[in-house]
Amino acid sequence: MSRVDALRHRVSVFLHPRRYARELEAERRFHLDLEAMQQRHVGAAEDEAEFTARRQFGNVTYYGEETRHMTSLRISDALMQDLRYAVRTLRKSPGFTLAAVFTLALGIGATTAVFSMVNALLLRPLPVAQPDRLFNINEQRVGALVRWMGQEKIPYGRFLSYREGTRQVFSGLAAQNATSFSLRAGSEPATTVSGALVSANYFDVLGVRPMLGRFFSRDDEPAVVLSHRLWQTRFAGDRNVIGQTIYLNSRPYAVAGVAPAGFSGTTALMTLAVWVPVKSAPLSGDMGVSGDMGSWVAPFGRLRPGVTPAYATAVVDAVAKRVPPDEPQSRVRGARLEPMTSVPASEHRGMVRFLGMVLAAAALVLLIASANIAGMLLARAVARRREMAVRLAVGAGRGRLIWQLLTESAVLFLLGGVGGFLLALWLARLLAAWVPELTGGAVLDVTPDLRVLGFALVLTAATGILFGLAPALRASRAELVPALKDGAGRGSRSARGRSIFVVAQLALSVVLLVATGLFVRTLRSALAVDPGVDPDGVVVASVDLAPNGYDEARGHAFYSSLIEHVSALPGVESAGLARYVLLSGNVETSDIEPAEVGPKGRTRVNAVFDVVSPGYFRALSSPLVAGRVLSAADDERGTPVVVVNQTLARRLWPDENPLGKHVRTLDHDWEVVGVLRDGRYESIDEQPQPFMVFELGQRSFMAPLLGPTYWLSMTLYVRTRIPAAQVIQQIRGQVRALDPNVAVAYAEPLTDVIDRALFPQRVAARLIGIFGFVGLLLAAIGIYGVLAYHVAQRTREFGIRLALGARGGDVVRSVMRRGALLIVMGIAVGLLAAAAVTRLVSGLLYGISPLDPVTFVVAPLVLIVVALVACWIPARRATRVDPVSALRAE
Amino acid sequence: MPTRADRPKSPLLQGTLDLLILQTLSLGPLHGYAIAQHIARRSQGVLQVEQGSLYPALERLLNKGWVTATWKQSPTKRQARYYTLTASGRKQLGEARSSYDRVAAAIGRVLGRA
Repeated sequence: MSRVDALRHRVSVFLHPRRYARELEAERRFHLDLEAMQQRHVGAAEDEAEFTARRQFGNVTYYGEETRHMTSLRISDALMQDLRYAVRTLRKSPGFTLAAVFTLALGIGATTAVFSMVNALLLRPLPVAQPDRLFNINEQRVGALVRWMGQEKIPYGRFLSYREGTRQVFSGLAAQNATSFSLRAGSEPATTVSGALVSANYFDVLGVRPMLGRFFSRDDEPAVVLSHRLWQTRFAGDRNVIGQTIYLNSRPYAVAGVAPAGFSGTTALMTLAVWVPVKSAPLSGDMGVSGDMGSWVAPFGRLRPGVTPAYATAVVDAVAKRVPPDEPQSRVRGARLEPMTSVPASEHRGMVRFLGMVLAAAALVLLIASANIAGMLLARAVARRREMAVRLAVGAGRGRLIWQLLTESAVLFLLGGVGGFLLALWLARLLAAWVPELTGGAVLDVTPDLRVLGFALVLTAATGILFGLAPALRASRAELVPALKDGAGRGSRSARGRSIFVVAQLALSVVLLVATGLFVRTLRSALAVDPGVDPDGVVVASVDLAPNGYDEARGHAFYSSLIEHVSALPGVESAGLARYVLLSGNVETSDIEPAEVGPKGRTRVNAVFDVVSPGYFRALSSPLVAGRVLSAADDERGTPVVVVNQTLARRLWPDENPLGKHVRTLDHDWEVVGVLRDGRYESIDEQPQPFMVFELGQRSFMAPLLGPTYWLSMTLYVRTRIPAAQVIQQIRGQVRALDPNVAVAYAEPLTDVIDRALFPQRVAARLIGIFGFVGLLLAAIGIYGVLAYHVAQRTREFGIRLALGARGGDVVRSVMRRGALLIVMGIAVGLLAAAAVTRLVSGLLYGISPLDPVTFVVAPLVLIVVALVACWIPARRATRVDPVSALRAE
Repeated sequence: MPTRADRPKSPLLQGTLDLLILQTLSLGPLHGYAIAQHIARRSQGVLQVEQGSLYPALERLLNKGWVTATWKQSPTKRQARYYTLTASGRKQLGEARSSYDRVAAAIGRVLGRA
């Protein structure tokens, strides 16, 4: 209880200092008046009574001070005093302050900037109502698959079955299918924008309200909702845009509404600009294997209040198993619920890995920067021993001295923190500018929120305390007499303290260098990946005939003459067709098994597949391992044939020659005639996966399965010797010449596709490289600082030795010997620490051991060189010490 | 009638002021002046609490939570700050008393007056 009473008293005094001062004054007056009355009572004269009373009361000023000092006011008063003193001290050495603040700002800024990316991608919830109640339905399908952002898409009809069967657990089930549109509005030329085909209740389920106009009422109305950004940039924020007609893939849509600012779809990796009802038109885009194109969708729903995800999963799974798929070749094993997050679960791991590495590298830079500051503070602490001793001698408590020094470093770190935060604002924007390239157009909002601010604050406070405390403790431990006597009473203890610091600084630097080295080597190995084709000189172009009312026969005729014309272009070596753009994240897969039952039974795998024309293999220089590639001779009159990759061959026939074997997939048996070297198909950092290629001439074998409109969207691969831009222009010309209404949906060099796929790795490698370099620079400065200081402390000793006849070389050797010992110890400790630390980050590494010998040899070598130079320069300087002045300086 | 200044005064033993205040307040809430008067009167003028040290002592007791202070009207119709002993103050008084008794007895023994 006494604590509560005491605290209440202190708090009230602290909160109302003026009132309290008035109360004290009133109390004093009261006392004096009563005393004077008493004096008069015993017969004193009027003025004498007053005087006696005052005298009896004692020193009023002192009393006031005393009382104030005792109560909580003391804290803030002392703090203000410390603050003023700290600012004064720091201003007296602007060089030190500037260097320290700049170093800290660099470390805190880099770390906070990277964190704001982590925040924007992984931590910030979706800008929708109660995002934690939203779940994707992910069907586990075999047979025909279309994957989007790690989620299996399902036919629209099947989505309706889910909606019917899950009413008890979802307050709303919506569906989406992201694609790109050619947008034309007014007289401006058409541009490509990202958009989504969505069910009419999409916005309702998300809990997003229109900023302007309305959202959809039916799944088939020809209406479009614009994103706030598109409305601003393309329509200049004109409120009259509602009701106007714009053209998407040449089809008229009435603008129904505008989405609120900040909402751009359900994933941070894709910034959507338009939404249209899913059944509003026979749109193409990425298609399903059913003939009904563009209507395969990714379903998601909002759980009813009180419904647990586990229960909902059971209901969804039951529906998945009860309702048979529309396509005969597909089977559904079940369905799961996955939380809807701004980065889809499939991308999450890779994202965590890259951001984790970059964040770790930035944090190491901060650690080195902080260690440098601690080193500087420590050196200052020693230099200020006389000041400390004087303050101790005149009665300052040791606790008070520590507080004072902590306040100083707090001010320093706070300045660094503020500078770092400002730097982070700028750096984060710089980083965010890379994101569109990283994700193919997504715009990331890295505006710092409270979480980023809190992160910067915690970071600043933690480093400030961690690295400010040791120097403060050290400095306050001044030994009075020697410090006052000549200001140079350096016992063996302080020398040992400095040596420990040199070792620690070196060790930390080793950890930094090893860690960044491992990261960079991991990323390098990712960059050196073999895509399985030769991308140099290859141009990719996609053409879509679906919006132009083609049927299969006309479509086939169109593509045949297109290939013929393009092949005849000057400079073109070969041209071929395929369905998909490599490494674009769009793939189609099918289950496949050997037609013959082997000794170990049948193995079934799921393989990525594509259907190509004969020119494809030459255009891509696909490396053949065995057998032959497909040719024009493989047509519908021939045997159905297939070319597989090494992984597929190994999975199905581990110990046998795959050539001549038959596989069962896509409603037919196919003879394996060739084996391709493994490549990358879906994404650049995928694990090796099974892949198979069919001949376009044999499409009739799978026609019942894939439907007639399947063949209306194709991708051209063209190998040329002339510049890509020129070829692309010529391809566009050829397409226009064949049909003026058809446009090339997309065209670029294959090297750009691969570059883009490798962009995250490249960005991460570059960032970590920069951080590593800055860290190394800081570490070098730090090591130089502590070693140079270490040597400078021995100036007097060198003076004596030189005076006694030692030669310069002897002094250098002595310094170097001492330095070498510290360096060896530091490196050894650092290597041990690095081995422990890299084990922690081994989850971020791939293709490389956490104890990678190259890194573990090169990193210490670099540091040894740095440290030796840092030792040698002050040693050289030491030899030029003039004995007389060295001795006199003391 | 001799004035107070003429009487021989004794400096307070260190730490005993708190004890005296707590003891005085155990009789009931009092203002500062009354506390000083009470101590002077009970010690027959031997123990003079220098008022300048009385209030800091009271502040100290407030900070420890042994007493609380409230403003009330005094018999002279003026507002005065009255100090009241808290439960923990009472406990502290008991402890301080017994410790004082032990010390006093010990000093007595040393001085050969056992």
